[in-house]
Amino acid sequence: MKKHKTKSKLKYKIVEGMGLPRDLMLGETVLQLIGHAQAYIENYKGIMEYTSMRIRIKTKDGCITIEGSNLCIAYYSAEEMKICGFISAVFYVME
Amino acid sequence: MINFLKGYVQLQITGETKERFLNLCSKNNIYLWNIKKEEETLHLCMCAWELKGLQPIIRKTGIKFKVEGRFGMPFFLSRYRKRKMFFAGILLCAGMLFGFSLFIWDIGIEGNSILTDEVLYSYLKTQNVQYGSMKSKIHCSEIEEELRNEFDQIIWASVEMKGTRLVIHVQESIMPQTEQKQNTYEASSIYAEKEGIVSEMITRSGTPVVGVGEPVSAGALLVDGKVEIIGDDESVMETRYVNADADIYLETSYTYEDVFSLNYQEKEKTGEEFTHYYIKAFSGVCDFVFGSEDYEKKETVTEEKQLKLWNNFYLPVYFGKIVDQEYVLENKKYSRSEAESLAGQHLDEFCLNLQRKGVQIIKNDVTITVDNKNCHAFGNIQVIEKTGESRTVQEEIMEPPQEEEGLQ
Repeated sequence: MKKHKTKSKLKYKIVEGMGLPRDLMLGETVLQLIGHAQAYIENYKGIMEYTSMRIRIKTKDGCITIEGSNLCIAYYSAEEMKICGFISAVFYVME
Repeated sequence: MINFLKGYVQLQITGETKERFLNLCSKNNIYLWNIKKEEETLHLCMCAWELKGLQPIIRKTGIKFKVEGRFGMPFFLSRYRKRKMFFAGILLCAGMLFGFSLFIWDIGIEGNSILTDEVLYSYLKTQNVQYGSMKSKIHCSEIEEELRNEFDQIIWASVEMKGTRLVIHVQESIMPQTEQKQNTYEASSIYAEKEGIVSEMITRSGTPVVGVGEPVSAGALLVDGKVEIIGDDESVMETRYVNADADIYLETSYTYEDVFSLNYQEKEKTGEEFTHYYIKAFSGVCDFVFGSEDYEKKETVTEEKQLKLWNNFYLPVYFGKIVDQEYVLENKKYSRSEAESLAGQHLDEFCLNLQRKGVQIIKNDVTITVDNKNCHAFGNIQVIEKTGESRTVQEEIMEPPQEEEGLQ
């Protein structure tokens, strides 16, 4: 566990130091918001909860919660998803 | 678009583990879209051929699904499989429209007044430019040059293709063709074309023979092309021959006579009409005649319109309407006042024609008389008009001057 933590810290330092893309190297989630009506998400593991008022998406380090109203998923695949509707809040919950 | 062409279905999902269903679909590379949650049901769209891959996922998640709708080309074709001729007709129509768009079906000529449309159409026909010519075989710049070379009146021409229409703009020369050509080897004099009294004369070159106010007869010399240069001793030093040029206005008269009978026949329409229609395509005509008419005398009015889809997309199809109007001939007689009015109209038209030619009318002595049978208008119209006919002159050989007797 300690070794694993040391490895990930080192990896993080290398990526930061060399200016490499974090989503590719560290598998971090990419969230792109267009106003309050659209959100594009990449690098996720799956959907934990989906209602018209809240969508929770599992990521590598925790989960992202998107709250709003009339939320719908324009498309959903293994690589990318798009959420439409009225987005009122975005939360990051780290593990 | 690709999904529409391949076909997709709209599903309604019910169950407890809808999120697990979505995750399993994404893991199995099943693309989902338009995912909406309504109370306890989930609506989504997916490709039709991926329905087979749903079976293991449904077993794992225990959800129930219902196909709400099938969309896309495969389902559309299946629904209308008994309507193949309908689609074949659409394709044929599209093919024909495309085929027709490769030809010229209308030629429009603008800007011409001296040269009539028929003259230009017949010339274009000799150059293989006519209705039904292929657009790829028509070269606009070459046609422009040929028009300018063929017709002296055309000083500028522009040819352009708009849709299936060939539009030709021409600009005609406004200078009269009767300008005298400057000929350095021949001289010319000006002669009177008719008899009259010279009212105005402006001589630019040549020797004037008559003066203002002098009467001249038809064919009389007005301006001589021979110019004699007189020396100080009043002898002829030199004789030059020029093209005489002058503006000469003659006061002359026209004899006007107009006779017409008081009895005439007028077409009186009975009100009976017979209308029928036709469609003309290429060289074939299809008439739509319902019923028949048996008029002894009729006047036929034909209206024809060419089919066009939009402004410049003309097609070789014409719609026509023929209206036959029956009439009878009634014998009538002009009253005195009517006859005088009609004679006056004829006279006015004659005077207007003269004025259009640049003739100035100074006096009108026409009298109109009406008897039992005819109306007679007779008289003289005095005018001032420009005259002058150029004729070439023969050069005379100049004799050498005689030596004075005192020196011999």
